[in-house]
Amino acid sequence: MTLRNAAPLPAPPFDSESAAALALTVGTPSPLTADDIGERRRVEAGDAAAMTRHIEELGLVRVDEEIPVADGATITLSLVHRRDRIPTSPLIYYMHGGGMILGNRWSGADVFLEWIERYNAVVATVEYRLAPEHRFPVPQQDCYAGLRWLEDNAGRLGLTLETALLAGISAGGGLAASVAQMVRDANGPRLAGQLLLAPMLDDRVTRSARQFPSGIWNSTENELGWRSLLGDLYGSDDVPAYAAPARAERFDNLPPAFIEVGSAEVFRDEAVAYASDIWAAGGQAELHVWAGAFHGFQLFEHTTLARGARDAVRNWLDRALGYSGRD
Amino acid sequence: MRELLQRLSALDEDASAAVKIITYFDTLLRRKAGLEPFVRGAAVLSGWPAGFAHPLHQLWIRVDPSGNVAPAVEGVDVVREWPHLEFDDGSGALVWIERPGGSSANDMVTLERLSAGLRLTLERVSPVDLDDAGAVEILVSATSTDDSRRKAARRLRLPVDRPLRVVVAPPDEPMPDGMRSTLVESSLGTIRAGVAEPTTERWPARCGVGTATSLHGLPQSFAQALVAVRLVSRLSPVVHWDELGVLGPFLTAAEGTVGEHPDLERVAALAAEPWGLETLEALAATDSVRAAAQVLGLHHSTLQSRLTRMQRDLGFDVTAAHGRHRALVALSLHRLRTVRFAATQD
Repeated sequence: MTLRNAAPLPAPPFDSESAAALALTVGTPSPLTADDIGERRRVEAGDAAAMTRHIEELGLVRVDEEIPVADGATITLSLVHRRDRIPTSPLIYYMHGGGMILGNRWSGADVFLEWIERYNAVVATVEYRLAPEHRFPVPQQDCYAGLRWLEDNAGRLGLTLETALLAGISAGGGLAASVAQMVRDANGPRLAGQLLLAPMLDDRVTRSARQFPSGIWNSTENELGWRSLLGDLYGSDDVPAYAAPARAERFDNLPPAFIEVGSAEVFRDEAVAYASDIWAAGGQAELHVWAGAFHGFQLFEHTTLARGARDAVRNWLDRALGYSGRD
Repeated sequence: MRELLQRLSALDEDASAAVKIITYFDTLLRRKAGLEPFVRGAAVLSGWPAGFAHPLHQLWIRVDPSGNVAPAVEGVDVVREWPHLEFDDGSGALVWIERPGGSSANDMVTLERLSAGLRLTLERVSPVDLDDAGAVEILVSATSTDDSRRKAARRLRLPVDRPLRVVVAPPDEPMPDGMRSTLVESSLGTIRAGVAEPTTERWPARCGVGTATSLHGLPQSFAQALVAVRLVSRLSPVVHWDELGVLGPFLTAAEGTVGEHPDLERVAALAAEPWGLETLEALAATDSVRAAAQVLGLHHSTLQSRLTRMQRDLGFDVTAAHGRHRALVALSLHRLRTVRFAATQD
């Protein structure tokens, strides 16, 4: 279906303080099209170089590992931690966002740098291959391979999967949810939690997926992301749950989930439904729907809304990891 | 993401930074943000802690450039060393940016937008201790904000989303039941101003009525009613601005611009007789002496003798179509300029 010509639907208004900050960030072409992908990735590569320099300046340890994946290729997985990490430092396995078509393993790294600082965590961030060059199941299998590699090398790396968390933002949140299901179905290690921030879970067009024809990660871009990932499968009933975790038939025996989403974004309804499905199956989930939050509202760190969301994540991490982070 | 925040900040001292500042505060205002986001905006955009002190309201807000609420400063004297701006309403309130070593080019833009935003927001979030009379005055005053008009309308249990009309009557005129009104000092002296829903059919016995408008337009409707009420006479006790047609704006414009004119002097002379203006109005408003006599409740021959005298004084034929229009315009402008109301015992 084409959303571009649809009449605008009523939608929740933006949080006032976040809207003021958003009003200053003009200039990015919207909606993003397939033609913009190359240029955007070049910009992101520059941002990644700046981020790795920043990590070096912070004095953190960074180790790049080349890991084999299912189709014989290798991908990069970076481990980042403080020099004074301890034997019980928890592992957080991070999957970046970018709608399955953009981003690299340093996208959104600010978020996990905080976890390294507050919890003395070891973060593993994976360079999964992107659509449309690599359609489903490549990104999902790359992320899964990363986790199994961490499991295989846990002893050498001084890590345990017992206290490990999956974490992802946007498309990364969807990939984290997929990995959680794949690990469960393969009788893999039981993980301590999955942190799903504004996760991309459902290729089917929900009400919220129609409600936001413009803005950050709008209806059109969301369709582009899913079409790029799924190719000919897009719009069919044959999309597997590992591609779109919301399509799963079983929601039992998943790691406890933290799900965060905004009331004013495309992913709202699928995030709410995912939490409900986990609860219905007897699982543990914590759902935060931030009123008036649009996709990426957390970027404006100074707002009362973003600070509330940050505090909620910290509080859940305190519980999931079993100790309070240090300021 | 920290870079993103830095990109938001208006550290660069060029024109685009001023645009950013204005956009930011305008968006907060439009979306009815609270007080603290305004102060936070100043801190984030300037890169320095920013503050707001309003001793009368016992408000002390201070935010650091990361957006954290910071401890209040002790007293307001210390903040005068930083770039600051005092409210010009005599409240003693002030805002500041804790930039050491003098202000940057954009600090004054930030402080002006900050103080303007805070003042409007304060008005919005403050309770109003209004009686009905005060509320009517706020509704019709051109200096009220739309927010204060909304509050006043709610206080009077008037709809805020449907059009209303302003009614102006002489100060001693009784108002119909249910019409909210108060005595207002105006350029015409003391008048009674009321606000009514457009569906109202019950008007004061003598009054002028403005056009139906949203809350924002009520001062305009008030100005129109002030014109209409001066055209009130025994023959036309209720004058609606809407029914004046183009004569309304024409008279309003002419009131101050048309100087002395023989027609006006002649009409003024007619006013010396108690029956003068009313007779002229009846003649101008009807198409025959007989019909005018009927309107006035006079015998035809009585009016005929008045008419003879009037024609002589006016110098034109008030029974011809052109003369009737000429008389009507002169009479209306005469009333507009001369009708005033004195204060009376309420």
